[in-house]
Amino acid sequence: MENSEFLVELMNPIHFIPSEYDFVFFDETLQEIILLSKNIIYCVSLDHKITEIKIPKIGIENQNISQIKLSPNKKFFAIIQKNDPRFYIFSVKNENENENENSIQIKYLPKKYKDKHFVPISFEWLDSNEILFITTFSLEHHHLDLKKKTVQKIGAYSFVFIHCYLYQPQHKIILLCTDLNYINIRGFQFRINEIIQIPKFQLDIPVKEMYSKIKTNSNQGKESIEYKIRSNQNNITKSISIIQLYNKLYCTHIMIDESIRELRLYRLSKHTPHRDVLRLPKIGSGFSVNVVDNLLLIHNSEIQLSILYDFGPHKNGNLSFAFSIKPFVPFEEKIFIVENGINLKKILGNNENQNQNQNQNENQNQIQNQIQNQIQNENENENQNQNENQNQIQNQNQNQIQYQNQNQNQNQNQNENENQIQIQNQFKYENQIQNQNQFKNENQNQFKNIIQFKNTIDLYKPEWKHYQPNFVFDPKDGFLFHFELDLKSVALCVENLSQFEFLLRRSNCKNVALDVIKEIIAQYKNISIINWIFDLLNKNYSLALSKATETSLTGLSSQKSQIFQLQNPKNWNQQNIKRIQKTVSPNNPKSFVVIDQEDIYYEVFEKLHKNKIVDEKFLIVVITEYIRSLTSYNIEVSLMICNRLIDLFVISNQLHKLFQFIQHRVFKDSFEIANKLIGMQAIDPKCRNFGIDILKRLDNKQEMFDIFLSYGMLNQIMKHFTQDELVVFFDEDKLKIFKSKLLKSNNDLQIFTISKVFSELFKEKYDNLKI
Amino acid sequence: MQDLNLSKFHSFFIYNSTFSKSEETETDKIIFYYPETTTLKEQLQNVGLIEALTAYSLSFSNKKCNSLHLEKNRYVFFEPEKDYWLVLIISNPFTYKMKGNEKIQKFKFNLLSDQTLLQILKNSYRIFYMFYQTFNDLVQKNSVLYLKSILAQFFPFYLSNIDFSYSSIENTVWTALDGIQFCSVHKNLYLRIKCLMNQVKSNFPYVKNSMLLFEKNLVWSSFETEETRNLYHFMCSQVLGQYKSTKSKEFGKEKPTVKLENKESTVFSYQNLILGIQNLVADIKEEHFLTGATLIENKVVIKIPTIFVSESNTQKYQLIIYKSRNLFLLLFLENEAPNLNEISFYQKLSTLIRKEMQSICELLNNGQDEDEKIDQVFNYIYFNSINLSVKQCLNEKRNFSLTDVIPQLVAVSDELLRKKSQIPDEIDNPKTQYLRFIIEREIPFEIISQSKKSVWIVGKKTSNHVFFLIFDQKNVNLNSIEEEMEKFSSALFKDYFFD
Repeated sequence: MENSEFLVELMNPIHFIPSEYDFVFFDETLQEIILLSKNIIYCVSLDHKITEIKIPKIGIENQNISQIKLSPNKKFFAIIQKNDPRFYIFSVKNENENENENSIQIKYLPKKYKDKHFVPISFEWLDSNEILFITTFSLEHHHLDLKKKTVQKIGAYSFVFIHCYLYQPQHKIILLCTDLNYINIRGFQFRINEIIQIPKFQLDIPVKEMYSKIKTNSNQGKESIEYKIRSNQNNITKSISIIQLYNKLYCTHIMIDESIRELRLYRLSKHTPHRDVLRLPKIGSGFSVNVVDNLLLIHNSEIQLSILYDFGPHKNGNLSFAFSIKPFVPFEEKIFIVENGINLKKILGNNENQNQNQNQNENQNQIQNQIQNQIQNENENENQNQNENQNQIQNQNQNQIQYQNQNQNQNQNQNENENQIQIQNQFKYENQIQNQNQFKNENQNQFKNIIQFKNTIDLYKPEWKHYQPNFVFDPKDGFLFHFELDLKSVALCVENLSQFEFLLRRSNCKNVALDVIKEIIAQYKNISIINWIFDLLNKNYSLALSKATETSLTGLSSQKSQIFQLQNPKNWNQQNIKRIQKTVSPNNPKSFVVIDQEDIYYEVFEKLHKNKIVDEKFLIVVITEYIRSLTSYNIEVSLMICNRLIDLFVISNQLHKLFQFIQHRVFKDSFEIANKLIGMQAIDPKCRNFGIDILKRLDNKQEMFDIFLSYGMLNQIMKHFTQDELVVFFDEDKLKIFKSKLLKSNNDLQIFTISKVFSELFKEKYDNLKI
Repeated sequence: MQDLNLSKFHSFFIYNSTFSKSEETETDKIIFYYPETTTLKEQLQNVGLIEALTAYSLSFSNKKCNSLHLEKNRYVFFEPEKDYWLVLIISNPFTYKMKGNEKIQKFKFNLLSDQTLLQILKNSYRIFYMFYQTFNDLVQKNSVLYLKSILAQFFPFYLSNIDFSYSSIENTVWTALDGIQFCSVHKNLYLRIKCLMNQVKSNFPYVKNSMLLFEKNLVWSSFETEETRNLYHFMCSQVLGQYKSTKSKEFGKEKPTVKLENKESTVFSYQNLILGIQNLVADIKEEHFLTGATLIENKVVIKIPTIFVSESNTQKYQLIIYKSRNLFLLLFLENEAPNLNEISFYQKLSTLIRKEMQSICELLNNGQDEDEKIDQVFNYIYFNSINLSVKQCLNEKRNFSLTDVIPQLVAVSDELLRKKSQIPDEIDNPKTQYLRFIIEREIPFEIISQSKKSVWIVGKKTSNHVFFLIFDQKNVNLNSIEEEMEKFSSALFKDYFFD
């Protein structure tokens, strides 16, 4: 990876001027920026579409709004007002007056319980007509009754006190911190008509680092609540996230203190969460987490580094593999600017000055080396001090990572299942998020009159808010980015097979992977590597084919039985699912993108051949290896590949090898192949024999007859078809063809004999067609 | 037939009439004569006979004749290069008949097959060419004397490896068919083998071609069919001539102790090469090189023969043979490929192929047993001229003895195989017109023959296939033979189009 380019980049920046709006935030449920200005809500989607929603006069000043969120269908919005114990739900203003008759205005005041006032903390839209109210003491799940214009409680849970919460809209999971020390975590998943409790678990926080709740009084003298961390003044929600990696959900907790610098991952499932620990570098602070294409991306804002971790094909359920990235360059993409809800221009950004880049890279490399050395030393020391009971799996390969399963001492009050990962060696912390991260607008003169736009953007800012899976929202400067893996750069890094596996585990990697395969072949690399790659691809292809068959037999309904079922992302319609079933494997770390025969044929073999990148003989070897691999996984070789191989054998004058293939039935018998071979009889008469053999095996006399006739094989027609068959197979047109071919033969004896037979056979049927 | 004395080798000679300019130098035309003990007078008589015959036959046909049938001997002659004639004389088999008190030899002059004997001559030239190229080349590059010395070195040893007794199908019909016995492998295994070969070529770019034999069955060859046949013949008749299947557990225990002559000589000796390989083939060691880096008397000796695979392919190869149990891998390297004299090359090669060869061998061993179970119904010999595949299946529980059947089989095959070769060059007459007619229309030849011991042999030849079916039922008529033929054809040709 040393020569790699930037592996992760910020994509599709959306910019707005925060000062122009009364209320600005990123809605995780809608995955849109919400901009409130006067009585209009602008929803800016990731694909740069702006929806303008007018809100009716509700008698609440925008300045007093503490929270506002639109329902998923954008027909309703809910509000919490500052210093007001009620939740409000309204319909949006609709141009259609008739529909306005159905508009609702709901005020909901949580009931008092044992003299406790339920102060609203927040709310989340679970669905277009289901909402979850979160108060200081309860979770209340309500249904929006449009007829009665009220909310109906579906379910509720009471707690001693809810200190903070974390909601993950994709899977409708909420995690609550219900004790003063922020140790105990309660979790719920909301599904249709049911709420599933996630087993309780504890965050492993040393006593001295406990968090505390600080109560403050607002200007109006009413009670409001803020949550602060005593040690570093960060909000606890910043250190906890809910992420999904390879179809598994985790609660991550970044634990930083004087002696511990770890990312802890609590696997959320129907069982008690299993804890894994990932050691973080000893340098830097301000860690935050994102997920990019099933890779864990940990940002270190102090030293402006980001690290990618891949928990790919892990053993025994442990986390297994860490992967590093290099700095990424932002703003190669076009920036999308929003002003007052109107798309103004797309301004092309540029990378900063090269010299500056170089200097900064050098500095970063120094930091990276420093971190790398530190980690190596740390691991060496730790190795020496390891408990005898530790089960170590050490990989001697320097580029690998050491995993340790620690059976921790119960006296230490630690989870018995803790698994600790140590990144031992050669781990490269060259993973700088762009230090050279300042954006300059080359076209500023052009736009300076239109927009007051700050020419540079600082990255790794403390104001950045990281949303899952891969969003960064900058409410101060008005930016929304999302991280994306730069697959082309990843592809450039592919130097060994494990890195190729890594590439194949990425979604949408198909084209890039095909380019890599093409490149490997073009370089005439060792055929063993090509074999390995084909086997890898076809293993997954075979699995996908068998799964597709199973699915078509059993239907998708059977999958619904899982208690902790993950839901499809919202944009997955049935058509998409079909496409995914065909092309992309499920989020299984052990499976990869499905690259089928069509992909390989058109993107690799055809391009290599047409552009004359490799010679025919080598291409034959490669295609043969591909066929071997397909065959070993019992996948039928497609006709186009067979045809291409036959053509290559002919071009390269290796017909004897083609005959061996046919003899060993490497190609499945088909009329197309038979026809092709018979058509090649001028090149070598043996081709005809092999073609006829195939026709025999296919046992379709009509097809055989047509092919014989088309190639003028009159003797064969007369010899191998009974008179009854001839009467059936010959129609008027075919008889004409036969007649013309017979006359062309200039063989008097043949013409005489056959015409005699035919005059008898077709006497009644085609009297006028006597030969 | 029990008292039949089998045919015997009589003599073999090579002559070139152009080497003799006058009667005084008449002996110069004889380049090689075996046995050496033959008197000069007899040598000249035999050469003169063939010279006269070949010249005389041109008066009747544009094709020189190639055999002479006499009461006691059968002569076959073959001209591989212009003016160079190879002549083989075989004594006909005979029985003794008592005439009064006198025991008289009665020769069976129709029991030998010209096709077979001619093929023996052709094969001998093919193998000679593999190691020495053409006679003319040797003369041009060196001298006639040099050619004579090479022939004297090559042919006595080569001929000593050939069985002229006409006692087995291999030495008779099979030789005449000149086919290749293929090992039937499933496509997955075939592709796996192909993959191994690709890997070898990829790791050792000097490897240009390869061939794989499982015992005497061809599994894989990267050469064209004709070249493959030459090499196959070389391996089966010379290298593996004495080879027995390892399925017999006793194999390898009786290691032949052949003393090699002139071991330290730097001059290439065909005899030394073949004897050396044969010794190694018989070695009980499971994996080792037969040529290349071989272990001889605990000493690593690197010897790589150079060969030409066919007259149409002028490429010169260095041949490395690797044996893994009963699997033989032949690698043909570019001539003067580097590193071939380094042990590390062989170690690296062995490391690459060893495991896979073992695995393939295991699969082939298992697959062979399966195959043998299938063909237990019919007794037949089959030849496919498209891929030169030859197959023999003789039921172990058959009711006839091969010794009884072979002469009849030879006669049928000789008649059947003669047809095609005769037609194109013969002068037009009603018979050839008829033959041409049926050949053009791909009408099969069929010969049905019954021996005195009620063994029926049906020989059938189509444009691409030849087969001989042997029935041992008694009291059968032609109709039931026809039915039996139908059954056999539908079983054997269920996957092939049979004209």
